[in-house]
Amino acid sequence: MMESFEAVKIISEHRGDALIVAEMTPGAELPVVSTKPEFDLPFNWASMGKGSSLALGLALARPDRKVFVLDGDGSLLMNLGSLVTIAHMAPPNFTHFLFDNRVYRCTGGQPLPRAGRLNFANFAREAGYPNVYEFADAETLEKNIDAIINQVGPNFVCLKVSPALDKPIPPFPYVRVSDAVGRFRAALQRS
Amino acid sequence: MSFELHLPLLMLIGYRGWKGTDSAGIIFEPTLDAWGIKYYLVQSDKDVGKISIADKQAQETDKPVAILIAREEHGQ
Repeated sequence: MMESFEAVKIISEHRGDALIVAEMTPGAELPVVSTKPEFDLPFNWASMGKGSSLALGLALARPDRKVFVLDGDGSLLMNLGSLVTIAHMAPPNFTHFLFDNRVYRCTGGQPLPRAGRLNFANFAREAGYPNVYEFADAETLEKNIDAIINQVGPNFVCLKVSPALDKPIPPFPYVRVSDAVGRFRAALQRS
Repeated sequence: MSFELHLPLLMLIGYRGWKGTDSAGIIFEPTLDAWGIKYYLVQSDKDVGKISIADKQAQETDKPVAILIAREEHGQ
């Protein structure tokens, strides 16, 4: 198992000029390590699982750019149908990173229904994602990430991360997505 | 999310329970009102011009605007 922050850091280091929509814990962590904050939409706690749908729209609108969503397992459970929509539209530039921590961390760590017995990689496979992976350690993620994000997608990468309930949520620089979106739009218009 | 991102989002929504034929029809418009979302009822071909109006409004206000698609024979 890896820490969420390690995975966010690796993704950020390998992103190139990818656009990133990030929800929940990764949404709070991304602004700390981002190499391209102008191309990030970090939802700290506010997107109610719709990050994957928003990222799909971005991927369709900007086929010239890679698009990543850093999704939570609780978030995805609220928007599970988006897996099917994404597989149906099949954006080749789309990579779905799922942070599988088995809890609703931001509301106090309540376990997900069927926590630990859900196989999100299988959900993605059955929905029709052509490329599906599951990684439990940072080294394997780092070794494989370039090949994954550079192939024809959509790609789904399930990351087994620690629920980190023994740690307080650190005092991240809180970025309101409503503030980030102006910068994001301007950056996209320029590029 | 649309409000948070100031997204000009045109929502095409099938109007189940139009004219209050079930609970969805009773609470639907008050729910949109509570959100401050403008909406237009489209019942037939003669109403399709409302879609352009709604789209323009969404673009100009950077907010969601809804098109409620109701079949003519529903609720009658």
